[in-house]
Amino acid sequence: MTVRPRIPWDEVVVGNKLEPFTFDVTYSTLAKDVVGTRDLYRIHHDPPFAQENGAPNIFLNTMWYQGLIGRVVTEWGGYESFLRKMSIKINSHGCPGDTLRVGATVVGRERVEDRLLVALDLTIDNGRRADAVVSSVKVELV
Amino acid sequence: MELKEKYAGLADELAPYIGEYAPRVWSAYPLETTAIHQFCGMVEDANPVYWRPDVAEASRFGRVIAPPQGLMAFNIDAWWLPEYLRGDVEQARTSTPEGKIRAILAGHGFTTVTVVEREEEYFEPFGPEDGHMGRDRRVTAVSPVKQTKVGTGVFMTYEIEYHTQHNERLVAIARNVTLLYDGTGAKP
Repeated sequence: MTVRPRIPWDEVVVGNKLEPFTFDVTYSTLAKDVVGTRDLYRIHHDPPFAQENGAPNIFLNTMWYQGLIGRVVTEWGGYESFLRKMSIKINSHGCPGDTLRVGATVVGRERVEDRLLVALDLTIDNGRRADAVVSSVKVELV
Repeated sequence: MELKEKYAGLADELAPYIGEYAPRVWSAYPLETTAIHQFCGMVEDANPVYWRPDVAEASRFGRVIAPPQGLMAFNIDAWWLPEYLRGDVEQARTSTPEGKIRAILAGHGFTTVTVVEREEEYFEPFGPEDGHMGRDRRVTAVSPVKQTKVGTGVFMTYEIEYHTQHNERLVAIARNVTLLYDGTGAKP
């Protein structure tokens, strides 16, 4: 896909929702998670170990979600945008077979000194829990 | 016996180590385009400032940068080390103020760890020309012992400041809340 260079800060409206986005999680997604984050904790690649530790299956780690959220936000804000802040909380595991639905809403817009900032709240629905992942982000636009 | 009474001396035991920084730890690998591309490829992030030098150099960043949200991934410790290096790493980890706090908590049975929340703040872009990343880490708070759904335990908050190797720039800070507990309740 083509990422646009920028979205004008003046045109951002609080309350607007970003285009909904979905991501299908497969076993390959989990393998790419290991490669992309170098996280070899067995709970993310060893199904019996994950199940012994109370998870339904192997599941995506926090860093994978950080990557996805960053992608969604900067595809919207444009490649000249820069993330300034991200908080993330995982409430439910994302496992192979899940379809993740990412929703994002503009919740604030402010100028701090020379920075043009936009605040967004994001949720990821994994099909079992609407707020499987919740995140708040501040992104600087140009 | 109430939790407050049972763990009456714990706060005093932990106090000398709260707020104390560990010696700086450097990332296992320098920040390189390979790691950046693998992180981006994982979630199919096509942002050209991570991939295309021509676009990145013409952008406000002036160079290829790393996705700041990859901060934790770029600082993951090596997943395997030769045996002759493992002792030093373990020794360095346990001798820090945080290591002492964890040992005290483990003595009370709080050995299971789960991340509750993580917040990252990015001060400046960082990228492949910045070398390794240095982490300055300290525990900033440990809550009183609480009864949670998953067991009895404490919430520990710690901060990590991230510096570049070249020019020693402070580029980010992460604040983490973890629950250390005894696993006597339901599984999370």
